[in-house]
Amino acid sequence: MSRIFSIARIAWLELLRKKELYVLGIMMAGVLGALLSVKAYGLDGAAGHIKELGLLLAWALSWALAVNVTARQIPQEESSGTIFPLLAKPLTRAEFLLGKWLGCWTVVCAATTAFYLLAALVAALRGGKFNPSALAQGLILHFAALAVISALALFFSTRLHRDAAATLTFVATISARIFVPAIPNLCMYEFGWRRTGLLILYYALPHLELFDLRQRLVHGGAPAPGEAFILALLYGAALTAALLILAWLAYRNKRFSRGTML
Amino acid sequence: MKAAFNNRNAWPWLLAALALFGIAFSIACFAVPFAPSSRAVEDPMLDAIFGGARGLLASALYQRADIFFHEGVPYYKKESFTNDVFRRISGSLNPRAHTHLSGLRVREIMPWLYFTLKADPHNVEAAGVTAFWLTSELDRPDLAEQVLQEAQEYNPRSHVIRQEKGRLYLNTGHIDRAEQEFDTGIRLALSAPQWTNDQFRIEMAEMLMFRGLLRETRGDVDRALADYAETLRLFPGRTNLHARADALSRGAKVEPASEMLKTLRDSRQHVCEREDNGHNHAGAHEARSHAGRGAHTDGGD
Repeated sequence: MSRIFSIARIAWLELLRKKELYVLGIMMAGVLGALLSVKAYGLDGAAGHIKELGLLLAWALSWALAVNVTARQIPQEESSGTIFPLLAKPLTRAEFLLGKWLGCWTVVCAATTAFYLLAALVAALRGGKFNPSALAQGLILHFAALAVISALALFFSTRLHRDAAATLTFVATISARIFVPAIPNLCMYEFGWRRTGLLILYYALPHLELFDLRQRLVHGGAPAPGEAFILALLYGAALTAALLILAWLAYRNKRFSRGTML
Repeated sequence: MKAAFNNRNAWPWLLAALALFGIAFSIACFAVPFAPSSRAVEDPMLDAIFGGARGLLASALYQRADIFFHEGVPYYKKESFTNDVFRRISGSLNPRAHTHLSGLRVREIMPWLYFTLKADPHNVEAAGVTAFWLTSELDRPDLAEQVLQEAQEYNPRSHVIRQEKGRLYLNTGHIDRAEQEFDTGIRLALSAPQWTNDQFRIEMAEMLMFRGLLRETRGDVDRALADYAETLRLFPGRTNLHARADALSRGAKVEPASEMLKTLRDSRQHVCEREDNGHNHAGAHEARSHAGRGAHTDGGD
């Protein structure tokens, strides 16, 4: 277990060293600050739009961070050759993958928490409040979504180059977020094999919309029912575990040739 | 060649760079007056960023205002199945009960409408909706007038803006100004090429009806009758108006025009496009709410 944490720690240090997190934080603060300076028709008391855009930014930035940070981990180790001393140590490939995933996921979760706090702070400056319990639920479900996204990026990066893995993860996750919830509507107009195909996609692709509690948070809703919340978390955990197993299967027997990497 | 790139010989390059900047500056000064875009005057920054996509952006923002008005509930779409495990979990996490904002909470849609009009000042529908909410729930007719005035500057040929201004002045008791606005609105609508379509006819009938009643309150019955006749030409099925016009032309007693004007002014009802989607208006329905051009008084009867 300590070996997994050691690998995770390296991912943390790398992200802190590269300063992406600070840049994203400054960018978000800048956008929200600009939004704060606009008072529509001089009317006070409207904070819904700040909450909405704050959470939207938190989602977009954490999504981008999760994909980029995770997709580069393995290809980076391979191209720099640091994978050889790592695997020469008493470290299994499963531990290596788990450590990488854990490091990326936790660092992105920490960044997401900072984004949420920033959004809540800016909304509070306009008199907008989040329900604290609902906000905690929203954040935890957001973490679950990031776990799935990170695991998918890690899976792609086991066999693909960094850019290809990141692009594929973006395409897969964004299209799943947009396309999957629309399938029940699309099925109204499709029949036969097309409808069957849509249904297969509906159950096979990740339902990332389950982790998105923004509507409840922005419109001041009470916390979500516990049962639905737990079910969504279990779904996220199962999906993440499945993707990590796939990543391990793809990576466990991968052969490295120093010459082709350099 | 090698000597030319020598670090010690940087002055000629610096001078050349300055000269090139000077040439570029001169060309820019010469070219700017010939820039063809009239919209650039409106908001050059938005034009530079979004170009022709401003309309799409405005439409998305306007849709957001509507979603906020419905407390986050997105547009209803028919679905072939609704009871699978994912829909159930999603439905519990983000409820889809149909509610409306009311009272001062309507302020929440204002930033979206504000950004809509900033993105596309030619969106007269958004201007009308903004003015409606500012006048009604938020009780700020002064702001509504500003919004409509600005919209009029961008859309001087729009009869819809005049119609909204007429309604606003009616609400604030500026009867003469209201009549003037309806007058101008009717002239603009008549000069518009598409005035025969249904929406135009409805808007025209409303303006004629308002103007007729205003004329009647001033005792100018003949010209009021002309307006009613024109309304009946557009909508021959309005039997109550028919009866009123008949009674007026015979000199018989009718319901006072001021009362009808009040009824007509207050009858502006919310026409929700999502009526079949499990409504829970939670007290908001009584509010004279408005979401889009579908909401209007139909000008009589």
